[in-house]
Amino acid sequence: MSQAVVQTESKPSLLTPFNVIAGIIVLAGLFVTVLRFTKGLGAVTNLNNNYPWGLWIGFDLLCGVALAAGGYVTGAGVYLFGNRKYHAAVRPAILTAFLGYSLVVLALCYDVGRPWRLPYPFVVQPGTSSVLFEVGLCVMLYLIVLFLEFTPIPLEWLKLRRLRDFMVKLTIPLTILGVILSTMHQSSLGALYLLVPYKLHPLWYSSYLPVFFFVSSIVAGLSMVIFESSLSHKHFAYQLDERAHQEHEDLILGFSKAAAVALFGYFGIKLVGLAAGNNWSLLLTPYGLWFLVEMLGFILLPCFLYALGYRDRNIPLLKFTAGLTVFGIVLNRFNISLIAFNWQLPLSQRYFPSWMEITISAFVVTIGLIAFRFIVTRMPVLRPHPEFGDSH
Amino acid sequence: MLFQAIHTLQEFVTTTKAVSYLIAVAYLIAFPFFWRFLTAREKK
Repeated sequence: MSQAVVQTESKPSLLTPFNVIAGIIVLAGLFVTVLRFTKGLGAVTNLNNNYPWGLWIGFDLLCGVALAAGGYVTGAGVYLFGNRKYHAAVRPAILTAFLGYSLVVLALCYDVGRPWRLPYPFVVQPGTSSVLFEVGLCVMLYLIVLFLEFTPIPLEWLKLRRLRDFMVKLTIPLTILGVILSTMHQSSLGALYLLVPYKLHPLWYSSYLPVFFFVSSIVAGLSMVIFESSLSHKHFAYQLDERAHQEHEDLILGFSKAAAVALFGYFGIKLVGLAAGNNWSLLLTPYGLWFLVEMLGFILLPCFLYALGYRDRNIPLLKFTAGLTVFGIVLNRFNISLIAFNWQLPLSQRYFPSWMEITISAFVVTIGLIAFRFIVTRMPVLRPHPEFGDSH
Repeated sequence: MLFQAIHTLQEFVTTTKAVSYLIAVAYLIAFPFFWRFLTAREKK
């Protein structure tokens, strides 16, 4: 009788809060997906001629690409700059980046008019003078790089040793290629907004927009690795031993130090951009105050908190700061693509996403979380494979 | 310089470049202090 009780108690329930909420979002997302592809964009979105790009570009693309920068940042830090002590962070970062970029492409398919023509810019009509062509090309190539960097994980799971060893040998060239491609497309996403000097508010518009986007992507990548690592260590703690938990603390401290320096530099670059525009008087307007909220509350404050947390080895403070920084990057992308965009239009003509657009964005994120959980609970991401060890 | 009216492109560029360089120099001076604040309690 006690054995039967033990067997009953050990069977996990599928109706966990995460599963229930994720299930609802997925069902709603599938419903809106059918609507979008049968009735068109107009039936599902609030996009119009003034706002051809809305939440799906502002959040799913701009924020998705920035927050997936942890892959190239961690890879460069470990394999190119030689910080091997953060080696354990590479696989989760690569997985997050791979899923992030995959979902960026999925979200893009919702936004473009004819998604089956996504390969056309590469094989039918390359628009080589277009910044967006360069973004598309680099994202496509980087997605292939990320997939190749990710392959050792499923190959170890499938125990395909020879192929896995070959893919591991490609790590350094793939990392170099990843850094080059990421530098190009992260900055080019900012360069897209160079086209709209009269639509983007002068405090956010700058000829340094590509530099801002690139540097903020480094900040976003470092912070997302801390954020994702903290969540993984909380929810998948059963996979990790004492050494992994100690490495996790060292990772948070090391990445926080780097993020503090990067944010310090980013704030300086933003100040130089402000000076170059000579729009100091606009700081006292409502948009100016909002700009100061972004600058002081989501760049300077995280910089200081990261520095303070690193100095005092205050892990909870660093985890909070990582979340604050991630929110700040999202806010920056929202400001440029939605809030400070078309700032001169009256309120009645401004854009706000429909509930269906928000549903699809939540749907895309939920798919990412489900895929992340599926892979992490089955494959050697957080812990080395017993047969292969930590040899990558 | 900051509060005088700017009439020509040259005046605009001179003003903005001057402020940008001042910010850059201020940053170069501030960075070592920031670095010392950041690494003050690091174990040698």
